[in-house]
Amino acid sequence: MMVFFFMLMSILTSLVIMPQLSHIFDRQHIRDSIGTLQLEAELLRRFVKDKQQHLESLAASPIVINSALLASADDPDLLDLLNNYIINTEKAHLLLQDIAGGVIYKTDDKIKGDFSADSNWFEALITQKTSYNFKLLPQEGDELRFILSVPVLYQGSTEGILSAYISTPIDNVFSPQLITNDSAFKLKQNNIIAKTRSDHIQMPKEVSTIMVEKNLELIYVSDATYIEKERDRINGVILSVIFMGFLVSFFIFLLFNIYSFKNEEATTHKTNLLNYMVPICVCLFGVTASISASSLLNSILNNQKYQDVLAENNVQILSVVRSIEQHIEVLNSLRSFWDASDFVSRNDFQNFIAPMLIKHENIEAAIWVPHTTRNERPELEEKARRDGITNYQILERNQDGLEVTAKDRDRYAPVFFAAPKSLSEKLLGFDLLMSPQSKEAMIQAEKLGTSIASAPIEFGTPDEKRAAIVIFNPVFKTTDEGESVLEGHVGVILLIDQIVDTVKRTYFHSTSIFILDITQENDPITIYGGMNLKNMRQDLALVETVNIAGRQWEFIAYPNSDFHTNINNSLPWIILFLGCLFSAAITFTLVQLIRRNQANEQLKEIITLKLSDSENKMQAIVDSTVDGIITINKNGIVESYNAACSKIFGYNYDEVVGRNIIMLMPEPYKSEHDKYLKNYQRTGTKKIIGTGREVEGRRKDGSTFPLELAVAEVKIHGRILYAGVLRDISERKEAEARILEANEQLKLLQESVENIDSMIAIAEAGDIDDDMKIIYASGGIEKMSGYAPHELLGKSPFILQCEETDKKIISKIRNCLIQEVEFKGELLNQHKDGSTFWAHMSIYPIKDAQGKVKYFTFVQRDITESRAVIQEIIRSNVELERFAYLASHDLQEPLRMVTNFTSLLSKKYEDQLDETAQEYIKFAYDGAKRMQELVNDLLEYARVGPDAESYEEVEFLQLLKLTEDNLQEAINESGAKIIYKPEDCPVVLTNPVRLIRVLQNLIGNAIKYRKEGAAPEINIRIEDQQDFWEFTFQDNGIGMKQKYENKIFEPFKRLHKNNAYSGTGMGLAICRKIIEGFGGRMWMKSELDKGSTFFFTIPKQGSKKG
Amino acid sequence: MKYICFICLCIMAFPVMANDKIIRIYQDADLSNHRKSSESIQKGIELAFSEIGNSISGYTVEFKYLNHRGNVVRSKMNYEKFINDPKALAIFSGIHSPPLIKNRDFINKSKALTLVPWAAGAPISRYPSSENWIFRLSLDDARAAPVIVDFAMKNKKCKSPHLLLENTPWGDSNLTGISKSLINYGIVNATATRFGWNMGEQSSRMILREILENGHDCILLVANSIEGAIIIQSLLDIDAEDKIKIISHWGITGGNFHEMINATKRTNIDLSFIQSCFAFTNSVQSDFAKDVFSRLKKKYRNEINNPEDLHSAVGFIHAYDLTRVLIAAIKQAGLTGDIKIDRNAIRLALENLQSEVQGLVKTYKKPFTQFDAKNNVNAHEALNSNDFCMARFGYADEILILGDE
Repeated sequence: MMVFFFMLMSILTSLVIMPQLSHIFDRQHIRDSIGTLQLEAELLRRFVKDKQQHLESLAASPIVINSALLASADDPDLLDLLNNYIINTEKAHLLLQDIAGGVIYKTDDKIKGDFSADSNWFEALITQKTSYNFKLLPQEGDELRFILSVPVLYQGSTEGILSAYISTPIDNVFSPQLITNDSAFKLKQNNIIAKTRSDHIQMPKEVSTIMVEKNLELIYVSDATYIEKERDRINGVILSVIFMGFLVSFFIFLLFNIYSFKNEEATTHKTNLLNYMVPICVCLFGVTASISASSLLNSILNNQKYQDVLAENNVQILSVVRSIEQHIEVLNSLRSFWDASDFVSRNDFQNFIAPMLIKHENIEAAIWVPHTTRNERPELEEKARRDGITNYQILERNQDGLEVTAKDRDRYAPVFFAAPKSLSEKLLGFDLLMSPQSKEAMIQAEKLGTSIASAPIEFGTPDEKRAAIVIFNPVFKTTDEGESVLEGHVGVILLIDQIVDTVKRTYFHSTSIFILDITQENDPITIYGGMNLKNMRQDLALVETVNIAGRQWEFIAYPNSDFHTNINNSLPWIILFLGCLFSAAITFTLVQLIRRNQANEQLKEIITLKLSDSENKMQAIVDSTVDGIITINKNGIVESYNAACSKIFGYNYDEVVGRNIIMLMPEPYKSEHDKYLKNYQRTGTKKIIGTGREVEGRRKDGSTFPLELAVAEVKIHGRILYAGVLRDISERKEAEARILEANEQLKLLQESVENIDSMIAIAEAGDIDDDMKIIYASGGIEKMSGYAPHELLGKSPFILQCEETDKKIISKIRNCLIQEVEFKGELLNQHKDGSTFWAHMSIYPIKDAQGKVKYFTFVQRDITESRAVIQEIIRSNVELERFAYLASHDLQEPLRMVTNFTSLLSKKYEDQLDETAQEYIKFAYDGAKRMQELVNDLLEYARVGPDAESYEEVEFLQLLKLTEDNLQEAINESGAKIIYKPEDCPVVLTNPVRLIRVLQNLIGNAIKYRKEGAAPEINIRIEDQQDFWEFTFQDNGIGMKQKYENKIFEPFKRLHKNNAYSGTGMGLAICRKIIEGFGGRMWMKSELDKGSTFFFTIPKQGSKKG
Repeated sequence: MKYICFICLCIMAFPVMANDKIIRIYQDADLSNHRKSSESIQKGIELAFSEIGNSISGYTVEFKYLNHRGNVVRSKMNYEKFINDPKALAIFSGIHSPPLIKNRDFINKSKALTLVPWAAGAPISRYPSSENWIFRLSLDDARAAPVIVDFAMKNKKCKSPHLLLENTPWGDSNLTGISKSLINYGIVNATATRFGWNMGEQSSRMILREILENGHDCILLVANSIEGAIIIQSLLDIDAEDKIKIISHWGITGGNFHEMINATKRTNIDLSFIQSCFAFTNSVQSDFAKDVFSRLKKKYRNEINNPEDLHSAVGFIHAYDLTRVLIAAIKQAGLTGDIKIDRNAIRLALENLQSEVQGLVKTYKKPFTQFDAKNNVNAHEALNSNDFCMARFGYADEILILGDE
């Protein structure tokens, strides 16, 4: 077990810790590589930028611009300028092209000017998408070659392209300090590569960055063999540590066992101690591993730090040197400006140098020092005064250090121009030949014709003296004789500490630099910094000797005191502490587990015995109960199933145990059970557990039944079980359903009863006078009788009857009750307040299930008002009939008198009356006749009404024939045809006289309202409409507009004047009233000039077809 | 039915065909650094064509303006666009002579009908062939130099003039002309200084100091507006005790010289320059000129209300006259739709114009004839030295013809 444990730890270490450490190592290496790469990329960018600016200044020359615009190289000044231009201390190889790519001028054939293979860069320059182009050329030996192209701009527009071919040793481009024995640099553009020496690299590993604008890739190549060696070393150390830990633990274990074996009394102790060997070994191993890992990590981190410091030293020196060189370039530009100008005024000098001083803020001052002889001195001083320097004179310092007018001597080198203006006051006029350092530098510069720096000199105010150097560059002029003589020196004053501080501030925080001027070997001069040799670690310092403008400077870069603070890594201590803590925790946990395990074993035995007894008892109880008991596990699998369940579900034990409980459930319980179970286990939300509810079960035969289920959660030996107790409640449910239904019906009935206006009372059957009491009275009784329902409870049903009530009716009621039959009738009741009211009473016996009458229901409705109305109607009709009779009789007499006497008058006095009189008499006669007709019709209309007692069954065919006979004269006269099918004519139950009146009116109208010249044709059809007969009379007369369909049935309504067609306008009104009196209805359809169709119906009421 | 469809198609196609009858008038000029002079020329061209409703011989006239920014190569690229356009009839130039001089052979060999309303370089119109495609209505350096020199020597009483010329073919052209004219005044080997475009103030001051120190009292200046302004500003900065007189070619009127050397500064210098003799600021205006200016105001009502508002006026005046001459030639020759035939026909019509053309500078009777390198070198020059006058800037930056004030 222990061996296995150690092997496991070893494997884990191999699989986890070692790869992690390896990964850390790799990552750090990559980070270092990227850092180096980025630094070198920045240096490269500056290098290219420097060359670009150089070329741009040439492209900005008016001569070049002019040539580009004219696409001409005819200007000799152009040739002179381009052929003599210097880049990189040698004559430049230049090409000037126009905007179409044509070659305007080239200094030589280094650049072909053919960009047909790739015209994108040319187009990009012309359209100013890019400010320059860099094209890498194939490497020749150690020379890095490339072509740099910039646009020639005029008024912001590209008018040509100027290109320069540049070749430089590749080591000048890349920092030698960054190129070590196991690294190199490569530049790659498209398929062209230039690289530093890299054949010493055995296993190249590359990290690259893209200088995006120009598709240029800078690659840092490191030797992976170095990394592999380091990795192997680390892995070996780790494995050694593990192995050592294992060995140590093993030997401890072995020794302990040997000691225990010798001592018999320690057998039990041995057993116990044996049990604790595992945690002891784990602890030992853990501590050993923690110590090893901590020390290893510390070593790695320290080593890395040292590497970083070394690299930083390298770069710091390089950056300072480069910065100084850039400042010296300014001096070169100033020299070039002088060379290019025939005359430089004070303003010219200020205007030229001012922008550069702004850009290079570490240049303290720029000066012009003309070579002046004794004779030239007055003119020089006068010239300065004319320029506005009113107090200008050549000065020098005396022995006391004060500035005084320079003594008379052969030569002077006074500061004549100085910028910035703020310093010019201090500098102007001072004779630099009086400064030994300056004098030496100027002489050397004149001799070599190049920039030469002075030894450090003190600069600044007495309170703030700082070390400065002055760099001089000689300016020569050509005499009329063609000789080149010294005109003077241009110079820049640099405060080195300012330059170094700027570099340090930007980049370097952990290292310091110390600069010495060692040009004089025996007399080194400190230029910058101070170094405490005692505290400096020699192995971490870097010393470089560099030539700065003719002076030998020694740069010493070393880590500062911050390094030692930073080098104190806290991470290894943390690892150690955590490792030991972790080991202790594991050890403690193991010990606790072992102890608990032992105790658990003992407890287990005891509990096992008790459980066995308990189980047997429980089983007996479970098997004998009438309720079903089922247990399931957390997955819903049935683990126990008692005998009662078998009876309830129909499944036996073996069919259920071991299967999912859902087999006993119908849908939707079946589908949702598992979800409920899982939900409870996850959330603890109880739906049924711990409570009881009604659910449905499914028997073996597939039927479902309601069951009551209670579920409890049980934990046994850490296992969760769910115990359910269930009972079949099918019978109970049925009974409940029945009761519920009955209650609902009763409730519905009660609501209905309470809301109707009638009185409903229920009384128990029994002796009328003794036992029959009201047990229920509806709410409507109070409105009708004045008694509240509760006042009638227990009273006799005859409580509302009074003295005025018809005794016959009461007797009839009593007989019905005795006979236990229904009663319906009207009787007079008495209100609680003593008033009487008529009621319609209905009594119904209510029988029980055996058919015995248990109750009587009394339903009474107040008919007092309706009865009064009926009485009034009867009275009114009687009066109306009498009025109609009297009216017809009384009116007829005077009318007859009028008609008779007017007729007589007409006949008797015919000879004596003129036409007018005759006409008047005719009018009177006709009017009286019409009045008679109206009265008759009115009378008839008034009399028409429902008169069911005069109905008899008659054949409709017979009535038709009678009607034809009555209208024979009109039929013959008009030639009318009456068409019908005798077999269709039914036998109708009706008043024949009145029906004949209708037929006569319809046929008569059809004849009367016929079309001129056309014989009337009347089609009669009869249809059986189940409950009634429908009669149709269709004619071919003049018809009318359908909109009059109702108007024509109104009394006295006519559509034509009396002189057109005779009539009173009552005919159809009477017909409709007759038909409605039969219980039918009448209507019409018509179309003008087409004819009319009249319809009416007569209820069958027992009539049959003939 | 078929015939009806055919007729309908014809009717529908008519507008299309009608739209196909287009001729284009190009301009290749500096629309960036000397924009005002180019726009002035454009106004002249468009106003003249607007008089005939921008339509001639059944063709609608369109205008297309290309920018060479003073670059000879770019001008040639623009010419290639003109030559390859089947509807391009003629091309006007701008203020700069170098592109026309440098590309003269190419223009003539490509038979690009070129009209020059401003550029004054003498070689421009003197392609040594009877088939000469460049016609100028403008100053001609060959004949302008005497006018400048006469004015300097007679009017300004120069005793020791110094030539200050831009280092371009235009400068070369004037160096020859002016030097030759000075000989008549006994000045042989006249001193000259050349400068390039993009000359800075410092260089300018150096040059001027040298001129002053050498005792010259007049500068005969051949520069465009940008370099001209730098030179004049440098002169003002030097603040020499004796004012040196500047007699200039007209290049300084082509841009915004008058803004860079404003009226206040101009009070401190004696500056005059050559122009053609017509200006809308002349005190006497013909009815024709009044009418033209009235239409000019109407067409550019938001921009031009008074003669002073017309900047680089000489561009407008010459372009207007030259366009009217062109229109007369087109009417005489007619248009066939074959652009090569039409260009040649118009070229010949220009050389043999039958009708008189009224212009602002003068009325043109046969302004051009066939070029002959020996006997008729001025054949393609519409103006002569009688049409040239000296002028100065007025206080409102207007150009005032001297002698008319």
